[in-house]
Amino acid sequence: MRHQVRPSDEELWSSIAAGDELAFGRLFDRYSRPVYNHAFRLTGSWSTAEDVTQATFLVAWRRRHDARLVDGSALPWLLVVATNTARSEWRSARRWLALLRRLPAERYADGDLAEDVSARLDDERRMTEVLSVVRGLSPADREAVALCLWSGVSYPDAAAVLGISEVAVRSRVSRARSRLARLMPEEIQEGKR
Amino acid sequence: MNDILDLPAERDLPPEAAHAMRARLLGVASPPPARTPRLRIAVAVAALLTVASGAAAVMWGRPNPSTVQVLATGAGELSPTLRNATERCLQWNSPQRQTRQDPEERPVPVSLADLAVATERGDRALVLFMNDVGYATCDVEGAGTPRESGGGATEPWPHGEWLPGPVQRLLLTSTEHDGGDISVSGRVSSRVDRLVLDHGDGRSTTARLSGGAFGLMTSDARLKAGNDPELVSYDAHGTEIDRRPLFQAEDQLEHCYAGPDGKRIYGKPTSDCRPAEKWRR
Repeated sequence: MRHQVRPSDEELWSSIAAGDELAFGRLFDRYSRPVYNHAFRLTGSWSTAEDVTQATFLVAWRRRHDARLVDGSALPWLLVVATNTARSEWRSARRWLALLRRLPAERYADGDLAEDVSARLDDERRMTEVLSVVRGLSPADREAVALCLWSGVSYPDAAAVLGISEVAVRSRVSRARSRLARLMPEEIQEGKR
Repeated sequence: MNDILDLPAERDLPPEAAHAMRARLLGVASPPPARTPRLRIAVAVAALLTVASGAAAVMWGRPNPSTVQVLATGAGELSPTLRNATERCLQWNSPQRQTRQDPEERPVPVSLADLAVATERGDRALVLFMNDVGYATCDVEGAGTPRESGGGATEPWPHGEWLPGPVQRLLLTSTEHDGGDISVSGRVSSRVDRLVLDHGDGRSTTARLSGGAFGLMTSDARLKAGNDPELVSYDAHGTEIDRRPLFQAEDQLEHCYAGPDGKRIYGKPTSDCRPAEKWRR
């Protein structure tokens, strides 16, 4: 009988800190998807989300000695790194970042992927609408929304990784919720009904 | 309120992209091959060839390849690695790619003939192209190898020939979120004779200037944002004419800068704008 024991994030990170690139590969396999989707929700672009995902894991490797695991999980810290990457000055509309060389976008021209391309374009349109509203929040409140409401990080974990109190996180989310309720244009709400 | 939570469904990374991304990240994470004497010789030869072709080459204190900085100021002066880096930067900045990145922006077409400055330290290279339309600049590591990575920026000139004072930063990359080693490129006015990065810890690195452009790379500098490193400009008499934080975003300048007509060009409105300076190649 074969069985596989899944190493904990702490075990993985301990190996990564010692320079084990295979452990780093496992971390990528484990968390690239949530980081990619978090990045998409911050940027509204799947293409940019790829860049941010790469940048996030590159930073994770470079900062492997000072990463902060929260309650045994590396994900909250990775999401905060992704948030910082996405909002850095590189992300301004007129600049681009190719932290690692990406595959050319022409790959999407394949017929089999046409449907996927169309669905992703719909995602981007929808996310652009949402972000246009969310940009009315302060950066701190936006970060709380993205981490806790969109990416499902618990309040205590968000507090630990952001280095603030849990009360402060709850307060940011609560403030964001009420402000968003006021900012949300009717057409966006109707568009989803 | 639930509407704001009604987001597009999560998706997987495209498998091909995920596979390639993983491979490249592991390439970065793999320990670099040991530097062999042959590589040292190759780097030294590259430096010598560059000197022979008329560009400057500077040997810093230690005889380590990563501390050799090679500078080229034109396409004919490129070392093989700099040529790889410039080609990669041109590829990243192709008009088609720029249009994909931002369909609403006018692309800046650049070619090898527009190369203003290219500099390398070890396997890192910094290149800057400038023409009448705008600029493109890249920081490339391991160009032409499986470990290749990099970052860049491109845009039409924000305010044409006007600079926010004597110096304008166009690209800044760092190996750590708060410093480490940095690569900076940009442009300077004709008043600037020397541009120096003051690390804020007693050390400094001098930028390479060429035809109104500059490139600056550090090696093993371990810069710390908390030390407030600054870019310091000097005129031909050695007088300090400008000092500004390295990590300050260009849209958060400490001062505003106005043209000769008093009209503000850069920075937030304040009462005491400094003069914007003209840039000439």
